Amino acid sequence: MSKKLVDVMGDLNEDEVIAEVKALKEQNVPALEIIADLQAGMGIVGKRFEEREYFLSELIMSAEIFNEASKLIGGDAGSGAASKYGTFVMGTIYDDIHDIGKNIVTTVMSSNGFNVIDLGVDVPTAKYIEAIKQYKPKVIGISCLLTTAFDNIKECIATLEKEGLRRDIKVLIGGGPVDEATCKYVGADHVCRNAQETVEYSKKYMGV
Amino acid sequence: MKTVQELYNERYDRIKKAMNMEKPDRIPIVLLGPGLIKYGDPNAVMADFVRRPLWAIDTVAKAYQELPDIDGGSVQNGGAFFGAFWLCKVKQPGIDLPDDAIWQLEEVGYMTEEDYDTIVDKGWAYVTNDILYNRIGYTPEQLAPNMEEMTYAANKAKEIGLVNTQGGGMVIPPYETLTAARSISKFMRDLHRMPDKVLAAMDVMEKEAEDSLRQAMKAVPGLTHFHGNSRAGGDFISKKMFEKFDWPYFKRLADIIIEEGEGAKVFFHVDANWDERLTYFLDFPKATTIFDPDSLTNIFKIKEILGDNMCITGDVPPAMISLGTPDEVYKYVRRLCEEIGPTGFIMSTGCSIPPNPRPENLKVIVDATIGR
Repeated sequence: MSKKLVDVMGDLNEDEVIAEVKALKEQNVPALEIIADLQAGMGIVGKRFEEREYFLSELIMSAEIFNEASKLIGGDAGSGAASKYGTFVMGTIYDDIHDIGKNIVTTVMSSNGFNVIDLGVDVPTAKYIEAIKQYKPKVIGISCLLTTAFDNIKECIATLEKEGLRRDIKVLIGGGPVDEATCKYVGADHVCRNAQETVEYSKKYMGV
Repeated sequence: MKTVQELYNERYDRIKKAMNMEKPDRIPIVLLGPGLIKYGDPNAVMADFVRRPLWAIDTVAKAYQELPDIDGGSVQNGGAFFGAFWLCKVKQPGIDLPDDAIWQLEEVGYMTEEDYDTIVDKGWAYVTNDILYNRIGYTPEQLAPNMEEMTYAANKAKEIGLVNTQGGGMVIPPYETLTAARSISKFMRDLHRMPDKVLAAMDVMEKEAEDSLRQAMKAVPGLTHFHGNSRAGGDFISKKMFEKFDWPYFKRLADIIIEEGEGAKVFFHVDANWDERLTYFLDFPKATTIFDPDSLTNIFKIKEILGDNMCITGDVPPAMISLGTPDEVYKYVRRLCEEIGPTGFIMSTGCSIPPNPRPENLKVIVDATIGR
């Protein structure tokens, strides 16, 4: 384990992270060990976010550095090698094309060790069903920025129930107008206020 | 029976007193947003604003007439203009979206890293025009204001004695503009990787925004001028970055409205959560500004910190208007009246009335404010 890599990743020192990853690679340190150090650094980022030392801009920057570093060792954040916590499927519900929040969550989830399947925006229920059958995630995320799309989430979750796909997965929702009352209305399990909350909830549920 | 002019004057005075932190005869009500059209005609859809805009104006006006205790608002709504403001494509109901969907922006980030230098060399207006007309592909005709519609709306508002509180000034700080022009993720990376370039471009953008603001305030005076901010709130960036990249520019634009707006207030339309940034707003003199949250900032905390200093509007949440029971809405509105009002408070929604309100909830907002 490279304590230096963990620390500079946590400090978001991009140049030092890149230099250290190159050095470790030259020393023939296995890629999985380097990834583990980067993910330990991401753990520091998450802690600082919870303590309100870091904010969204730092979360985005940490994911960017993580991705750059991963490329140096022949992987990307969402690749099998980097993913140790299982699969997370996410999309923005149909009739809604907002992608910013969804992209931030998927990026941060990837760089925190989840295998992320990004379904995009304006996602119909059938696409969620197909992805759940194919990838068997334990947690799925539905983004929604419009009150007019609340009924669409409700329909999507009800259909998952009917199809027998709801029992073993947690459904997280997020987005500006989404609150606890919305969560109850649509039948989701939890409202995530930010990307880090999605990471923490998913880790807890998966027993990490 | 009051004449329309008498009704207008009464409403105007009520709103102005609240803005001046004086006690009006009752809490004024200012409601606006696309969902109001459903109160005028339950079968109306968002595409009506695009396909038959004059009918839509009439129908929104009908809603105001059926809820005559509403003092202020707007009979007009949205359009391609939003796309220009945020430097992106706008998808419209009935054209790119289902008939009853709300306008949506495709925020892809048309501005490049190299544009920061171009802004310094050639100005922000040059880059804006390049993005709008060459990269996005708008035509000048698409973005030109529709004078027929605007005149029709102004006449309709006058006909029903509705107070439009907004003057012509409409501004957001360079930080906010750049989050849309670059896209949030790319811009956040820029703040870390090339802070000096970003600041140099912001200085140029600010100067141009100041000039435009002065012209707009002069062209259309009003009770308030709009000054928006959202993505510099407490969830997005640290206080250190806020003080470096947003607040100085944001404050300067507000100061210009206060100093040169001929008595108009600064209407801070503040989206997202600003709980941890509220004390900054104490910098402005008493009764020169208005805080208009979208329901994500805790309005009771706003009252606690800023209540002696500025008028507050808000903040019935859009989700509550769409999903809440009339009883829930009534209780929340009464709580607002009792804890935020009666002085320096205007009853309103968080951001605006969503496109799918429960129409009875709109009536409840009015009734609860009046105390019926």
